[in-house]
Amino acid sequence: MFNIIQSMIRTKALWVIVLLIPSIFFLILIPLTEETASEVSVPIVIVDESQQSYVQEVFEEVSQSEAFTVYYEQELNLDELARGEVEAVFEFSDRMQEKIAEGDSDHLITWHRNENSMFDGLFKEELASTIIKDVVRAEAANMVTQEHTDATWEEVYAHGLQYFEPEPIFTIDFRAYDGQAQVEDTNEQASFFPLILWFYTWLMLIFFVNFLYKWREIGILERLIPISSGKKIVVSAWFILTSLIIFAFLGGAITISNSYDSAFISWQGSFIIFCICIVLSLLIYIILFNYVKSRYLFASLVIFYGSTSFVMALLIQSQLIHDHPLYKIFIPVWLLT
Amino acid sequence: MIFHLIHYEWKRIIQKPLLFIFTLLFPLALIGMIGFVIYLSLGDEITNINITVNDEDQTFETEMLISQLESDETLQNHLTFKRDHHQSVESLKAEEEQNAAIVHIPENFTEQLRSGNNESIIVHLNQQLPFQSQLTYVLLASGETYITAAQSGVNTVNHYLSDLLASDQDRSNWIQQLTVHYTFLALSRNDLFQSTSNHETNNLSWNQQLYLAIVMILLLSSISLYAFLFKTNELKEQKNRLHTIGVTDRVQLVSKLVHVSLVACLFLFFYAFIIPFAFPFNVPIQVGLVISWMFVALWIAGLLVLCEYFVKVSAMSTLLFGSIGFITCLLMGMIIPPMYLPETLRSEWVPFDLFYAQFVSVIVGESIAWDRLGGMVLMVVVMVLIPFLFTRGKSHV
Repeated sequence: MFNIIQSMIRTKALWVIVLLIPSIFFLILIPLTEETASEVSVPIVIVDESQQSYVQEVFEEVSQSEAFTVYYEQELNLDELARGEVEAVFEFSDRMQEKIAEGDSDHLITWHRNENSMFDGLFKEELASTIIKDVVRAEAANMVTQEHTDATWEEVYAHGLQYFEPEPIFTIDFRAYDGQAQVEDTNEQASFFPLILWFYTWLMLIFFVNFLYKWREIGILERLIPISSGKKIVVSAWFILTSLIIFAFLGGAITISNSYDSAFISWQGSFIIFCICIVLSLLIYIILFNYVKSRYLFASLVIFYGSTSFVMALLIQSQLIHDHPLYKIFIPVWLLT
Repeated sequence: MIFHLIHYEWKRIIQKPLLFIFTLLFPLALIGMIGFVIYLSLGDEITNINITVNDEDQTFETEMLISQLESDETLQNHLTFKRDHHQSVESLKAEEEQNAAIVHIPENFTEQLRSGNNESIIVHLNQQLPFQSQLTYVLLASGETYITAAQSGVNTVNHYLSDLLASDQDRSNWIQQLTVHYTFLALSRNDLFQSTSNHETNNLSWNQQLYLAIVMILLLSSISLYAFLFKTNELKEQKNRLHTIGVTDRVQLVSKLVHVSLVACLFLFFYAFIIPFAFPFNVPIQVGLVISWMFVALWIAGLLVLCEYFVKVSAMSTLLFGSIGFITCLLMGMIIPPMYLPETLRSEWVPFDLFYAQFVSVIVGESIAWDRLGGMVLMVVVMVLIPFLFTRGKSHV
């Protein structure tokens, strides 16, 4: 009888699904997606035809932003914009620094954009906040030097800088609370790893249950009925083996994920709840297998439930929707911290 | 023979009509559900976000600060500020459930600010309204820099000139004037820019890009479901039986390719042309669009046949197809516009963006770019040729 179970272990595809694909995920996909995701950025061009050192400074400051890739060019060329290769072109006028010092700050920059440009407004904000700093400082210096002869213009201009560095004088401390007067830590990046792990396990179980369906289809399970509780033994043996493989897989995956220094796959939340979720998922599969005779109906049902609950949990975790007691019918929602 | 094999595959589909409808409608239902749930939880509340201000300091400066935040151009149309200086923050949290955030200005804030000390105001964000509080966070965080700029102006002038004024009354009036002056200076940042908009454009609007992405993801997921549930990968025995009646591998491959292409076209036309009716996507439906989607369908079908040709276990070939499909669609710019991708991914030697460029010229320019169409034909042909080269045209028996 246990030959049947042995046949399961001998299936090569099983090991590919349990070992090979997750290792590809860990070794290649995670580093690759993290790298790519951090490199996804909005291309912006800064044009300065008179090559001012001031613009160079501004360029260096704004190009630190990760969300934008900023190119510095010395000639205005709107072809790239028309071809849709960059999102916007910011053309600086000449004598920037002098104009700012004179308090003449209107229309210093010409902002060329497309009507379909989406994120350049955010870059404009960034650029504006960099330049307005100097505009205000220059205005203050002008005001002071008109009344007060002791201090030089440069001195006052430099004095203004101390309110921005090392920390801006006005800061907002953001804190989250959960509606009911409970203070939590903000800025904690949510981890999607438990959800992904649950979803992959859920899909993996389809493959495991497929063995049971195959045995049922070729009549192995029926033939075992005459032997006292033969069918039960095979199904229980399947259950134990599947649990063993799944939990070994999960143990390995969690251990590896903890060794990664990455917010994306860091483990948050309770292992016990995770184990309960997995056992519950297994039970759902066994119960469904008993009642659903058609393999196709079974696959459709579990794919339907699995993807729906995965998506719901993702939406809640990324804070697009708010948690509701009703959503507890979706198992992965339990995993959310 | 090819016709008979295709006929057989369609018969299999007709035998399980519900399963087929499931593969067609489930991805659509899932995406629809996501949209619906997001829409429900956001509703029309996005337009109006309520913020309560709890100002313990209550000076001219803090009042100015609130109006600074209130009058910022980027915030103006979204936020409503309500003042409630008498209740504690804790009781405000419990009482005002529709509040996206509570701004708490601590006592002696003005004094600290004036003396150049770094004192924060505290913003409590309501996690019950996740989207609203997130938006509040983004909007208020951008206010930080402008208020700092305005305050630096006030502080600098105050630092050098405050000795010139005799009485305290004069000084406080003067500081109020300064605060108003520098606040307006900092808030007038948009005057720095002169904006020109180019109307001849070569990219898609977010709405058109969303259409491409949704249709593409729907197609990928429904074809994956189809491949998995209907097991298009033939059994070995079936293959052998076909060999004995003289059906070569090559014939089987071609018939499978034609069949999967038909299914892909069916799915795609359903998604690509039904969705614009239900949602206001700004996409003109015309011949060029139909042809472009048809090539996408062919390409996807080729990819599936290729994956199934090399990987025989259906669960694995489906997974492989899903991953490769998703990655190539990403490279093609079908999901996010190619210009946002890192340069390393925008390779020249695999002209993935041919498809994207074709869609741009079809949707924006409303004309087919024939040179790109040629490239697309070439890519589909290459995709089909790979397994074709490996199969034998002659019968085994």
